[in-house]
Amino acid sequence: MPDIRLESLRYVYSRGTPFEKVALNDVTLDIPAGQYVALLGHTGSGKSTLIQQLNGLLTPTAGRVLYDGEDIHRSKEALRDIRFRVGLVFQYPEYQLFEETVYKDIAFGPGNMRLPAAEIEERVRKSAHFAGVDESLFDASPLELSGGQKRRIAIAGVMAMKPDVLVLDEPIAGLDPAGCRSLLENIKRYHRSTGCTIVLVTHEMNVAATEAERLLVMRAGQIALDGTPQEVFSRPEELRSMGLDIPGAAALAQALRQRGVSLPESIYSPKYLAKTLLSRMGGVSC
Amino acid sequence: MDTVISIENVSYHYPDAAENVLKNVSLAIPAGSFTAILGHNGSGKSTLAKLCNAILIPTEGRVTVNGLDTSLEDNLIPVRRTVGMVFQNPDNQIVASVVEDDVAFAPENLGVESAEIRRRVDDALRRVGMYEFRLHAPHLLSGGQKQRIAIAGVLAMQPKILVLDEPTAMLDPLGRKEVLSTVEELRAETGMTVLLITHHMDECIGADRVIVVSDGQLVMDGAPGEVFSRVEELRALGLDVPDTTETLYELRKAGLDLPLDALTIDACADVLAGLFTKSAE
Amino acid sequence: MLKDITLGQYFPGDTLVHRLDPRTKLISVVLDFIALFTANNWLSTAVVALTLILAVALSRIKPRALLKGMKPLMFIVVFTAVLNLFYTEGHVIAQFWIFRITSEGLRRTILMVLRIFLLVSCTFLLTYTTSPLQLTDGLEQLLRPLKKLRFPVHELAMMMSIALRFIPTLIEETDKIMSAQKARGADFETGGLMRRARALLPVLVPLFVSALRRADELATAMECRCYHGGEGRTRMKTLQMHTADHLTLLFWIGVLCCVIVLKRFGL
Repeated sequence: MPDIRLESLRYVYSRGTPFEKVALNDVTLDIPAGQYVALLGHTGSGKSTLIQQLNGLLTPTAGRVLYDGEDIHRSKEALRDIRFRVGLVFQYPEYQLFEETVYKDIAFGPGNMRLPAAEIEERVRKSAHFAGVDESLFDASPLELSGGQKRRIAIAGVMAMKPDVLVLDEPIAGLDPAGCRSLLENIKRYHRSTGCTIVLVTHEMNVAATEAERLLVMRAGQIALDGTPQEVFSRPEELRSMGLDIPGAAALAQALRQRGVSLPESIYSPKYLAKTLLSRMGGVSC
Repeated sequence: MDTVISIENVSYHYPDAAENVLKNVSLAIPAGSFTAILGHNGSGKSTLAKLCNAILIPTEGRVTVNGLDTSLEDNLIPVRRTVGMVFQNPDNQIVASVVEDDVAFAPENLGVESAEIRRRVDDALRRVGMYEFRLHAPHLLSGGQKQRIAIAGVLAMQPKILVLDEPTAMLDPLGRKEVLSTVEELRAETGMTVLLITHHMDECIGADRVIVVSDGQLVMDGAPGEVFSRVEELRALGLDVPDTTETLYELRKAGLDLPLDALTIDACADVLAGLFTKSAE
Repeated sequence: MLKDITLGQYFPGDTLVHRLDPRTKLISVVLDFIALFTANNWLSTAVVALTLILAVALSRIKPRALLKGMKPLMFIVVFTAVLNLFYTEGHVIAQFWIFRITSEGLRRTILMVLRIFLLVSCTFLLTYTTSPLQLTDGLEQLLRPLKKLRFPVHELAMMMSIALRFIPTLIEETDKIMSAQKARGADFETGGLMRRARALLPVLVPLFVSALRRADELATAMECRCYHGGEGRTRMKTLQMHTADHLTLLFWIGVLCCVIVLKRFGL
């Protein structure tokens, strides 16, 4: 599977108007195939612009987006092709459903790819399975289902294009804790069984910490931090200065350090914190 | 304390639905309290909110606000001006294209005289810290700012009770903080009764009381510390606990005798740091 | 993209033009329209143009913003210009292939383009300097006499102000849905008319569904804020005509008279 490379990417909104805004400022970035990346940053930091560059919905003001080493804007055909290779699930995707039945809606993407009917059917079934949409819903109208179900249908609709890269913008926004957990599990399972690249945009630090192998933190149109969850969450002050939270467990570990308990910098989950504390106590009492 | 909202044996089902969304719920909200209502999506918590200001009328049972029965036509306006509501989607509750005109909407509906409306609007906007934005167009503001405008729009009615139905569900962390600290300041300054409906556990930490709704029924009711200590039960209900509680819970599982009700980062850190000073001795 | 459409946008400000009573501005626009349709020669059109230039200067609206607003109408302007330019009989001043340009045609074209431009600018100036709410208030007040005929003046005004409030929101939403469908391979740019119309379905259906949902939520939110129709409703900003308003109206009547006189004497 191919890698993505952004080269000195720059994007300016509403150029030449009073509303002109630099959304991406000289971003250079490599996303190797198969990685699970979380993209963080507060609203307006450039996350949404960045992900819309990945599938060519936006055209760079300067710089290039390379997919498998080739510029995605090199031709009209290439640009159309990239839409199917890099699947983009927008925020609140449930509001984009439009077909009469769930099946037809999931089939919209593969239909646009002009695939044979049998292939489409297989893809719809597979992606419905991955996204957690039950086949018994296939004939239902998507508009009559619950918000959580609709969202899964919309995600299945993008998965059905079998993209090499799946980009999800805030897929868990507005879901309750159980809904979040099970959707994230679905995404993880999809990642493991297809081996595709995942780019997950989220505000939830706990989610980023537990799901992704690499975190990218954006600030003012640039990548401000890039590293493993351990590396990124060991810089709580920087994260806070960017208007971001740190996971509760990381904040707790920091408060403990201030109280003289020596703990490693890399704690961000309650389970791991508890484990570390237990081993420390063992160490002290010996 | 006086009860401002009293919900007595209330059941509710939507006109086209067969099943009750709320099943024989009873609840009394004391004046000046801060109550958080937790529940998964579809638990009936939003329905509960809408019953508090006569947007929905119980199918069975009775809801009274300051002693006024919400099912009586004549009480409609008095009830609604007493219970201010803020909803999830900030875009869909702003009526006007200029911030201050939007805030003026409720007092205008109440027939308040124009100089008094002006005073209330300025006051409400100052309270939520949006006075400088009074001439802005709402659609250009951030989610958190829009939600503060929505709060100001409700404050201009001078309600006694503020009901917030998942006010932060569509906001980013910054916006969430903005809205929550606005509500906190309002409570401190005015002693208003607040009912916060949410599924973010950490938003409930500051509440006096947490009520958990599941499947149309109230399944837990107590101080945040009490409710959150029931970790297994909450998980079974599709809810989560704050990281502080979870850390304590993990340590308890390992056999340590720790209280589960240290909810804030600082309180929890104190408890945990205590372990080390003890074991060092 | 769609966001660039400036139609109906309000630029807050505190100039003389901003402060005028919306009723004054509405009547002025009507008078301006009458004057423009009456004006049929250089001098009278110039008088109206000068008045408008004065108004724009006073409002501190950048002329560029007005020009930008013209963009979506360019097609109509060019179309009428071409029609007038090539299909007016008269003294031929230039000719090539099957096209003929007459001096009358040229004159009429220039006047026509100028007139469209002035009409549009005037309307834009109104919406740029008057908040939609003021605008609907003004309309509501002006149409008030119709209430006696059971005409739902308040309801219409309310609907209008809400529509105006939601235009930017819905435009943004359209952009978003279009992007989302493009991401699923929807193609809005190629194919014949029928195909393109069909391709819009994935945008229109969600947009419609979402508009309904918004309407529903907004209605609830309005009820929560004690909305119960126009009866007994007061306003924070009550409309009041000041000296400036009276002078403006007098001024416009003067302009109109001037135009009529100029026309009458064929200057």
